[in-house]
Parts: sequence; C-alpha cells; structure tokens
Amino acid sequence: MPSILLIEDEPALGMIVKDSLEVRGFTVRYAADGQEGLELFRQQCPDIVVADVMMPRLDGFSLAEIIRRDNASVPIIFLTARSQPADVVRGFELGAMTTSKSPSAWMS
Amino acid sequence: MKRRIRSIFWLMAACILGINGFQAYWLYNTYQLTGQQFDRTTREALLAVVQRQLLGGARQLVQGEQKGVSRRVMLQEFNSDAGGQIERIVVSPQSAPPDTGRRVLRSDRLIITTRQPSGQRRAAADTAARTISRIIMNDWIGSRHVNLPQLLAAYQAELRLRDVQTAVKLDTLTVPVAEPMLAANVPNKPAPAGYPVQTPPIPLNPIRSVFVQASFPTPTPYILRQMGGLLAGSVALLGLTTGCFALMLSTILRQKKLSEVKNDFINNMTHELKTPLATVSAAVEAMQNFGALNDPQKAQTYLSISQKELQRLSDLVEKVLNSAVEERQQLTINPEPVRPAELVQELVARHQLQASKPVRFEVDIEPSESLSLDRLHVAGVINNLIDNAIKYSREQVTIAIKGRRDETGWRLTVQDDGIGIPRSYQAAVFDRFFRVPTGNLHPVKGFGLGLYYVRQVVERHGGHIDVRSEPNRGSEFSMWLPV
Repeated sequence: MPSILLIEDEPALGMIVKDSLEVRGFTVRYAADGQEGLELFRQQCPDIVVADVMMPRLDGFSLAEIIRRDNASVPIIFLTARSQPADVVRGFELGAMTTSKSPSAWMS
Repeated sequence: MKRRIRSIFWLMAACILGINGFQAYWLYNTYQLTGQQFDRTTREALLAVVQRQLLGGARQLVQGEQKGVSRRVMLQEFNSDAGGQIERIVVSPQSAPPDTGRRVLRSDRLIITTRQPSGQRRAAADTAARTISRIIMNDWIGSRHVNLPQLLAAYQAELRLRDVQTAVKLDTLTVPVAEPMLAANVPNKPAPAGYPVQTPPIPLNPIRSVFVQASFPTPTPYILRQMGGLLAGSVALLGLTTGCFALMLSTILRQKKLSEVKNDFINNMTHELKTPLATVSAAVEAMQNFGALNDPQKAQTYLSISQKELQRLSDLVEKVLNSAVEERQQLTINPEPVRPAELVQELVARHQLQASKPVRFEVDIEPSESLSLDRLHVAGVINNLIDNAIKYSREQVTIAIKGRRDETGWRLTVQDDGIGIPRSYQAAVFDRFFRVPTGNLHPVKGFGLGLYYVRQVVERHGGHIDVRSEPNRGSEFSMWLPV
C-alpha cells in the first residue's frame, strides 16, 4: 500500500485522519507542522502528501512549492477548510489533487 | 499584487520625472529667451537714447546756426520715401517759400506740407538736408566732449520705462574702424568687474569713432522677476502632481494593507471556526465509515475529542458574540480594593505551571500598593498581556512586569523579548479582530480579540494603554490607570 505523509497542526484532527488512513491500509507518517513535514518528506519519500495549509513555521503552500522543486510527480492533497476560489486555484497551481478538510471527500 | 504596485510606482516615478524634465526644459528655454529679451531691450533702449541725444544735439545746432540769418529749421518731421517725396518740412514762418501751402501749428512755427514734389520744393528740401548734415558733421568733427552722466540718466529713465530695473554702467570707447556705423565691427571694451553683460557698442560720434557701451550685472534677478509667475506656477503644479501621486500611492498601499488584514482575518476565522467542525466531522466519519465504532476505546476517544472541539467552537462563538455585544453595551466595571502585586503573582504562578516553553518572570511591584479596580477584568487584562508575551516569543521568553505609582495614577508595564510587532501595525493591535498578517503561516492561534478586550477594560477604568515594540527585539505594553 502507498505510504502517506500527513502534515496537520491540529493534533486531534491529525490523529483521527491518521487512524482512518491506517484502517484503509495506508502507512502514515505524521508531522505537526510544515517544517517537520518537509524534513520527513526528504527522509521518507512518501507516495502521497496530505498537508494542511495554515500551519506554524512553514505553511502548506510554501511546503508544496519546495516539494514540487524536488519532486514534480508526488501527489499532494491539501487538508484545508479554506474554500475561497483564490486558495483552491493556488492549490491546483501547485499540483494539488484536491483541497478539502473532510477525509472521506478526498479519500474517495 | 506586489508586482502590480511596483509597476504603478515605477510608472508614477517615470511620469513625475518626465513632467519635471519637460518643465525644466521649458523653464530653461524661457530663461534663455528672457535673457535674450534683456539683451535686446537694453540694446534698443541705448540706441533710442543715443538717437534722441544726437537728434537733440542736432536740433540745438541747427537752431543756433540759423539764428544768425533769422531762419529756424525744425527737424522733427523730415521724411522722404523711395520716390523722393517730401511729405513735411518744418521751417520758420519768415523762410516759407511763397508757393507752398501753409498751416499754422503753433504761434512761432509753420509746417509746410506738400503732396506732390515740385522742382522748387525738392530743391528747398535738398538744401535744408545738406545744410543740416553739414552742421552735424562739423559738430561731430569738432566735438570731443561726451556728456556721459546726462546720457546715463536718460538711459536709466528709458530702462525704467521698459521695465528693466537693474544697475548699469555706461562707458565710451574710441575705436577707429573702417565703417563706424556698423557697430558689429567694433570690439567690446573689457567688462567692468561685476558687470559681465554688455550691449554692443553704439556709435555716438561716427566721425571720431566714439562709441558708447552699457554694462550690467548678471541679469538673473531681472530674469527671475520676469519669470516669477511662471516659476511659482510650475513649482506649484509640480508639487501638486507629486503630492497627488504620493497620495494615490499611499492610498493604494493602505488599501493593500487593509486587504491583507481582511484576508488574514477571513482565513484565520475560517481556520478557527472550521477546524473544530472538521475535527468533529472527521471523528463522526471515522466512526461511520472507518470502523472506529468497532473499537470502543477509540470511539470513546473520538467522542471526547468531538466534545472538546465543540466546546472550543462554542467558546469561540461566545467570544465573538460577546465582543459584538460589548461594542454596543459598555463593560460594567465593579471596583474593589485590589493589591496588584498579589494579583500579578497569582497570574505569574498560573502561567509558570501552564507554559509550554521556558518562561522567566521579573516582577517589580510594590507589595503594599492597593488600588480600586475591577479584579476580574484587570486580572483578564494582565492575563492577556502575559499570554501574548508567551505566545509571540521564540523558544524561551523573559517577561518583566513593573508597577509604578505616579502623581495621578498607576502604571503597569509588561515587557517581553519576543518577536515584536512591525511599526506599521502597532496602532492597530488594539482593534477588534486585528491580527498582524502572517499570510498562510499560522504560528499562533487566536481571534484578534485579546488586546481589544484589554483596551476596553483599561478605557472603562478611565486609563489608557499603548505599545512600544521593535520586530525581533520585543514589545512593551504600558497600561496607565487613574487612582
């Protein structure tokens, strides 16, 4: 099964999403902010990145820009409540597959 | 957005530079033209004065010469056109030829006017002209004296008439030249010190090659006087244009900042409001679709998380609603005797227990000090200030809390060595929902209500609060309450 790097600064939400993904058989690595997520990405080379946008130290969009410079093909999913058109467009510009806070929405 | 504003700035700068350049070019040209006009006016004035002087001298000469033979010849009107027509000759009444028409102008003069020349009239005119020329030439040959002061006075009067008010020096020069009537052939006399501008030499006595030349100081004051209106208008116009551009740019920048604050507020509120909902939603989904209900312990954890998140959401909604209500209804203050040192000590102890990073407190408040304050709200104020000092800091923080009484009140300062606040945002930190924009970074959770509440409480006590801060150096909040 593919490995997933989950980056979310809300520990409760991070835990629930991590559990839900693991139930489906994914191997999940969890990071609590963008900077930690970037370090894990470089160490683990996950198959999929699931990241929040608003985080301490390094935000999700900036993280995606850095990841895209290193790896153009890794799928990125933004786990965000932000639904303004500009944010959605920015997410897709960075090669995100989808942007949603609901795990079932993007998991489907 | 930044690139667009930068483009606008550069376009504006180019525009202002262009306008300034054109104005400068135009003013320079006008300056040059006014300088040329000065040269022309002074030259023409000198020429006119010299001609008048020569004419006056000639008139006296002719009058004097003719007195011996009891004839008077007036030279005011002696013109001939290409056809040799003599239009008017002015002579004394005694000498009038018998066949000419006569018209008495003044009691002692006659004007003889002929429309068609006849042989006799032409002969009379030629004789008169030759006589006059001979008299003048004789005078020029014999004359050595030039009445320079008189000429200077006449020249100054002429300059005043022509609106040229400047110092002037007249000087004569004698230069033998082949054609004395062509002043262009005459070399200039060296200019006197401080009088660098000179007219060309004007022939005063062509027979003896005597010329007169006027010298002036630099005509800049004259030119500036002439261009005064233009200069003032240009400067005013340039100032107005530059001011308009500056105003426009500052408005754009202010709007941009407001837009940043607004976007940040929307993003922050979206994040803070939606995150608890998303967490609860994820927990419910996990129980419904991901088999969490099959694990009672996990289900219990998810329910507990949901409860906590719903409480968090409820607190947030309550805070926002309260702040809206507080704006309409003033906070109620219930003063009671409070020892600030004790109050601060309690809060410090609580924060030392709860802090998620190393915090060092330095408290300096007179223990015996007692004030009449609303304990609950003032505790809330100090709590918010300490909370902010911890939240907006790096890995560790030192917080200095000082309380001092002055003549009219009591001042409390809370100083930290945290991340500080940019100067442009310092005035806004006490506004409701304001948070210093951080873009997509979300280093500190909050709603922008803490310092708004602080200001409300302080103002309800009749005091005031302000902030001094420097990015990366720290902030100092200073609260003053009347006693």
